[in-house]
Amino acid sequence: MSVDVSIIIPLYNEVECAPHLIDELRAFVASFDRTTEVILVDDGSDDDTFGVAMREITGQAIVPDGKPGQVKDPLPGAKLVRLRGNAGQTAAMAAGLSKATGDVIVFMDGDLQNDPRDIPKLLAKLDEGYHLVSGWRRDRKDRALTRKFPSWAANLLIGVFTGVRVRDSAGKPQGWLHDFGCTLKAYRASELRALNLYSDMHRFLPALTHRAGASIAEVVVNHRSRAYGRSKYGLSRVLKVAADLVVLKLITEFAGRPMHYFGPLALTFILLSGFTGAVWGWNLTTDVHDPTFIFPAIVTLFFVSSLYFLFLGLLSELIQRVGRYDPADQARATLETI
Amino acid sequence: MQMSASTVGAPVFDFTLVLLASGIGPEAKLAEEVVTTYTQALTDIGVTWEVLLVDDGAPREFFAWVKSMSESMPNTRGIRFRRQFGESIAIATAVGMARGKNIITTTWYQQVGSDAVRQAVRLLCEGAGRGNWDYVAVRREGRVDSWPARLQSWAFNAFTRWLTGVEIHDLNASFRAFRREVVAELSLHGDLFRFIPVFASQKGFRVKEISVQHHKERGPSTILNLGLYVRRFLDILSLFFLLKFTKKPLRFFGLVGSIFFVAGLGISVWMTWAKLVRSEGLADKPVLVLGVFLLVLGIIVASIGLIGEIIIFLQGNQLKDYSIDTVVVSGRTDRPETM
Repeated sequence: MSVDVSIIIPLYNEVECAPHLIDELRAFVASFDRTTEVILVDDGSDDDTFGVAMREITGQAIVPDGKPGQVKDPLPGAKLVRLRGNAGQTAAMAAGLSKATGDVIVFMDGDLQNDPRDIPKLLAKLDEGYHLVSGWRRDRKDRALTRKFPSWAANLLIGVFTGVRVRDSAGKPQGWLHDFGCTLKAYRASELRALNLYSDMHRFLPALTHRAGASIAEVVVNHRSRAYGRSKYGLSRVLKVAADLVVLKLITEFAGRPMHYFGPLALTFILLSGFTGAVWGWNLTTDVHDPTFIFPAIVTLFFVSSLYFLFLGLLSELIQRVGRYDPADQARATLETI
Repeated sequence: MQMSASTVGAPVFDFTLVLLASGIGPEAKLAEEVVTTYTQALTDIGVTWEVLLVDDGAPREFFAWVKSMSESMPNTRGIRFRRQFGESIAIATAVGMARGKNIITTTWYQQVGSDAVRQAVRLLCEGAGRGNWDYVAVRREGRVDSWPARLQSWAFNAFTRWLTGVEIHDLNASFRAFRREVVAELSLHGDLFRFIPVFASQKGFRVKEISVQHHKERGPSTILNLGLYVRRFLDILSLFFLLKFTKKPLRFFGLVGSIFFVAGLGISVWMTWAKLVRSEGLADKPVLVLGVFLLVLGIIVASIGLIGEIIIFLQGNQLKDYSIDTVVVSGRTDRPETM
């Protein structure tokens, strides 16, 4: 049985936020005109996030300041997935996705900083024909130095590096995507199912879908300051993002054709070897009284490296051939048929 | 309940006792003692059980015993590997065939007494929901093997603990008790069977170590075997790599590669400066070769990391980053492993 919208929310040590979050979702789902399922993913919390969330969605939570024994309504169509151990945000999102049945997937943070009332705005935009609508926290309620600055730097870095552009309804590029890090985003489910989510890939979902030809729009969303709990991110994020970007670039470029990476390297080194050899020869013929024993060493080193890269390239072609990845899969998964 | 030997489906027993026998050592008399003692303990506790006898390249006479046991004992099956495939394959195969919710593995002699069985059953089954343990590892106390054997075992365990941070003290014990899905979710090969509790703990399964009296040690003597030390060291090294970098090999290779690259770059810049600014001849400076070599090495190491990333990217759909413990659907709970 499928629904219109699946809202996936990873939770990690959000015991204080969870009841408020689910209250908001309950109110939202009741007033929303599409069939909705909420999927909460407890990412191996150390506190009782699981227990609290379970009581909230199954109608066992006590109403605060209510009559004795008065319980909250259950959250209809909700699923709560508990992971063994802390797997990280990307894995939690992938786990939620594996249980989702919606045609549209909305991701949201579990710390109350995103507002479910923004979801209709995102979906209305998606209905205009976009494949991905990203939330943009234009007025961030965070500390400038430790949160806003790293986030700004990370967004700029990802934007420049991956070339993701927001488009208008006519398909014309409008500018950079402002907020890669905002979890609140709506995707067509087919876009996500064409991808393989692992490591820390969640930040690059817009880049990966963009690469698969998706058109991306942006909607300004409400951002609220953290009322409970504490943030799980810090300044060290920028470095990690930079490293992951290089990996992403290399993989998306070369996974399907690794020889195009190793081939030029092999060529460079064979040329370097030839060049050093020429310098050596010139040194021998001219009347320079330098002992030239280091030249043969460097020529050999460059030559051997060239062979090495050539063989690594052949090896990776072999790996590519037996791999289960077929670039055509992504094309097929996102194919539009009329 | 009537089931054919090959059927694998919903578990029908509480426990499957897996007896592993490999090499030329196994003796039917001792093996029978293990099976009767452990199953008696299970019966006394009041859980249902089956027995799976695994002959991993043992002598012919041993399989004759396996056959006679499977005819005379209830709920008993036997399998025979044509040659010795090793404990990892034996365990993985046995878990695949087991019809119990929980598995107990033991070697063909009583390494530890039936007290271990009682403790393991209690830890795996007692309490409800999250209070249960998923894996019970034993720590042999009052060991009966020789002191060099104990010393090397201690060193192996201490090194593994230090490198992985998982507090297990006796990885070589062959008594293990665990929920079926702990091993069903792992891919076991080579010598990785020793590290099941480490993998389990990293996957988020709850691992408990219990102390039990060491009874008997009948394995082949492996003291002062240099080849073995080298293999163990390599095992731990690959374990460390698999635990930390399976999904991000470029982070490991990239780090090592960039250290080489930066060192090589430093030397090369220094040499260039010497040549251009101080007009020194380079031809008699072998350190230039070192600099160039390090530059090249850095690129090579990082490229190997890229190959690693490509492998993960291409094959990674089967390697899930997460493992689902429970799914609650407003009002209904699916926890397949709850007893």
